[in-house]
Amino acid sequence: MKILYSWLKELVPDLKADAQTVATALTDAGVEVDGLVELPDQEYVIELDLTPNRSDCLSMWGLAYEVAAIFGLKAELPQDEELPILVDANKIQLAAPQLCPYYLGLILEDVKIGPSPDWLVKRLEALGMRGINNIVDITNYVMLETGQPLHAFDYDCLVDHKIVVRESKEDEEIITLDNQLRKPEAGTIYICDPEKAIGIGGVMGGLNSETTEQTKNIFFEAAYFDRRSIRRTAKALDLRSEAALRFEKGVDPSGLYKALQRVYYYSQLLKIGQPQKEILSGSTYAPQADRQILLSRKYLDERIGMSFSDQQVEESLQNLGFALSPTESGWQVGVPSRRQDVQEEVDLTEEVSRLVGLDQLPAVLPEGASTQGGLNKEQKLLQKVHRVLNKRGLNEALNYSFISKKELKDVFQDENHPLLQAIPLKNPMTEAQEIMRTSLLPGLLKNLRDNQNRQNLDIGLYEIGRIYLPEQLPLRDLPSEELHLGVALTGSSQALGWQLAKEPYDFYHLKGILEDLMSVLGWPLALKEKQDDPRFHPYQCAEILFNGRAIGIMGAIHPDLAENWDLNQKAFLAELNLDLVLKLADPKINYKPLSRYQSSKRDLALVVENSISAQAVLATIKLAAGDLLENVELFDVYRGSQIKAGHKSLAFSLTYRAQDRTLTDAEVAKAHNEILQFLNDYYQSELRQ
Amino acid sequence: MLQNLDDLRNEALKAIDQGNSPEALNDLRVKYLGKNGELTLLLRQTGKLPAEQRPAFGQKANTIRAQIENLINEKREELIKVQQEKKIQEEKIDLSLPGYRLRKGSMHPITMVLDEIKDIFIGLGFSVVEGPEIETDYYDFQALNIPLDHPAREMQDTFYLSEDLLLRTHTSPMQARTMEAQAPQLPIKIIVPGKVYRRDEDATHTPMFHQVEGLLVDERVSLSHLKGILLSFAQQMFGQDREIRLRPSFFPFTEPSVEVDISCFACGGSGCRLCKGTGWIEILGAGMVHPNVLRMSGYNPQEASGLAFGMGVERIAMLKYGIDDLRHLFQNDLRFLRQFEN
Ligand SMILES: [Zn+2]
Repeated sequence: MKILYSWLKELVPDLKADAQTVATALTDAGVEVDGLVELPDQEYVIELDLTPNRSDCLSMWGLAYEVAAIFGLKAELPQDEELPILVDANKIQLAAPQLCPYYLGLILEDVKIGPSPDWLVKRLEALGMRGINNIVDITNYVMLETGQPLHAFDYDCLVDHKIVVRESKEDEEIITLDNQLRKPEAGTIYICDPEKAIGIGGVMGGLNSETTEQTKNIFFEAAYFDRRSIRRTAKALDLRSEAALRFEKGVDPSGLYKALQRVYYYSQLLKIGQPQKEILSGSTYAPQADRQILLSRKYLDERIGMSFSDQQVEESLQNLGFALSPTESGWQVGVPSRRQDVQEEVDLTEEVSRLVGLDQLPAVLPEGASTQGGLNKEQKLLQKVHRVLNKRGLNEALNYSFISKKELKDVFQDENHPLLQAIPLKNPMTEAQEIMRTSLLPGLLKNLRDNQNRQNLDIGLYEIGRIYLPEQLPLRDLPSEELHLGVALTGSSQALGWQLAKEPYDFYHLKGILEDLMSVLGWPLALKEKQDDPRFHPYQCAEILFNGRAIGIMGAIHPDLAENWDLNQKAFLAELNLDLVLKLADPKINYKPLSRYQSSKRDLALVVENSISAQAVLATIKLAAGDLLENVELFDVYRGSQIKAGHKSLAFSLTYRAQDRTLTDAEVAKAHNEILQFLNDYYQSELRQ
Repeated sequence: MLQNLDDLRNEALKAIDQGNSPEALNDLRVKYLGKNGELTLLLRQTGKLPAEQRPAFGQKANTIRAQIENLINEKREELIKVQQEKKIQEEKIDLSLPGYRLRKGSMHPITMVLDEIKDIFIGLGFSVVEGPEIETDYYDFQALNIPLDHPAREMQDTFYLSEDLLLRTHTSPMQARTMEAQAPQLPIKIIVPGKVYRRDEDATHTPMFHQVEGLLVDERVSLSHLKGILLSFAQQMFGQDREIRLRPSFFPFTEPSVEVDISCFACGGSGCRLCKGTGWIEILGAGMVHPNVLRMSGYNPQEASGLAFGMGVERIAMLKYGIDDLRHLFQNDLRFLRQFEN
């Protein structure tokens, strides 16, 4: 929306502020100014960026009220001659009153079509419209002035000189002014005569009733259309004219009459024909009465948090053109129909506060019952999860929640994988963002590849974010949103210093990270070998178990998948359901008093079959040991010529200690032998010689 | 014999003087003063001397012994010092070489800013709740006073998943969900951090971004409280000297609605590139909860009032860390991410 500074000054004669000051004041009052353009002859165009509620500002008149109120002045709008309204259903028939309740017309006879005077064309052009001829120009000029869109029909093109406003029928075509054949959906507002459509209401007139050089008589239309219907039609036909824009935002029902009064005035002023001295109407029409709203002083003060003076309240509302009368508890306020946005008491508090100035308000912290804010258990634990991953040197990644179908398929490598059932967006912006992710791995794999392409070769990333799992497709109910953790490693983990070698990432780095993670959540990491997941290396992959169920997967990426994603190094990936883990997490610090007595260390090198996992042996040792075992650690794994084929040697270091005494050699030997015996029985293991 | 004693002394003194290591001096000690040392052997011969010469010989031998002993000790200490000094010299290292450090890992700047925002509001008594990112049309729009076909729907272009389900366009649906669950109990004091989605992508918009919504509903909550809470937030987030400015605006779910600016922390308000010369930086939108929203959620707007605010986390992160390009936030380039290790 653009406004002209000189025109504004005509409407607010006492306005002394220059254009820049007006622009700044409008912005401060919530009518945002987008730009100020200087034209020759000290003329200025102020460009507004209006919020959708302020349809009243889509006209010079509306802006005049606004500017007057801001500067504490009065707007002086032209007083036009009263014209009688003639309701005649034979001339205007409203067949779709819910879509068009009011429709007024003014007839201009013996028109002389020609160019408009310079002053008028200049104003139109300054405000972004073109001068066409005096008839079209009047409709545009009055629209800019009053906010009411108008249309001019060649009256003699109408069969029986009759207007019918109705809904369009199925497949009912019309050729519009731009010479396009259009076929809007059935139920669109059509302006017709008894035989044919002559315009799409509020959006564009028909070619068959266009005013031309030959036109003798004109019918000026001023209508009130259902704004939702206009919005739909304008959008569907992609015709966002100035008129449609105003209808969509909602025009002032009282403005129809005023706009035709203006047309009457200008057609005489410009001597372009003989206007009939009556206005035709299709329904009973009277300019709407003010909306009456009670504003209580108490309500106003409580909502604002301070007390404005009576004078401040009254002046700001009166300058907006609102009618005010005091009541016992405040005021009764009459709000003109052009202010559709002012519906109830709270809207008046907004008008008062913005006009008196929000800078007047004190900054106060609320009193009242104090609340104890804070994070819940899961939220606190999540912060711990970040910390433990950061401690391992990992960087948090953040990917979009939507991905492409191809990416998802490229990860799962299996047409029938249940996680390929992803929710599609109905209106994605690009193919890369067409479905809601069901896994964090596509994003992380992309991050590995992108970083590798930027020569970042040592990468440890994690992401914590939701995945979206539909119960059924097409989607009917809210899907479940699970918080997942994804980890992706490739290249080398950090070296401890510049003199030391870097350590290439392997399975156990990933496993150790997950062990660290689970330990802060108070659970052991439980894994189960998995050989048939096409994403992973069959012998370096495990399901992550939690409380007996699989909640994730980890392992080395399958070489085929790595190739698919153009990764030139080994990569290790994990993904798990964090929601479940956080919910059941039970982090505890198990403090034990420090023993004052000495410990004894014994090593144990055990030869077992290759198929027996070190983790199982560790667990068995703990199980077999009594209270005297303080700690056990795996420190070596050996496969080779020194032991028999198909076997490996696992070396453990065990620490024994008692709380109440120093253990004797005999006691330690007994405990150690018991463990050994148990292991030998259980695994058919032997001591490595 | 006495002459022998003098010769021995001279020889010893010369040898000590030439001794060049603590070990050589130890050897000299043994050579002259040890059990079978030359001086010891001479002393043993005292008995062979005439009786009257013995005291003088003994006395002289002891004096020489003490002299040799002292000289050896002195020289030895001197040499040890030199040796130590040499060793220390050899241990000179280049202090300018880098220390051994661990990568600290990093949270994403968005997570960091979110944590900081949460901390501030927790300090003001707010709790943190989260809601679904996939929402119903009702909670995203209708319960927030945005009916179907409302012009405000054009302000935020929406990703739809079905006729009725969509990616939430703001974190505000949790306002309605929380109020519905709590009504008519007071007070409600929550913030809602999370991801939101809009169909928009250019230099200043990404189709996914983060918001933090705040909601306080109680008796007699006012616009001045909104100003107080947001001033406290701005000062904790951007520095104690910050001021805030409320400008009237429009959101369908608040009335009155305001945009909130903070005084520019780069120039202090005199105008610079960051604040486009205005001295102010827009950081969030806010307002008093619209009576329609209160009503729909089960509160009587004459008895309860509320304030609500919503801020874009990306914008705050960019301002806070001086990030020049919004797109960096979602590209996960390690060169970017590692700058937030701390
Ligand atoms: Zn600045």
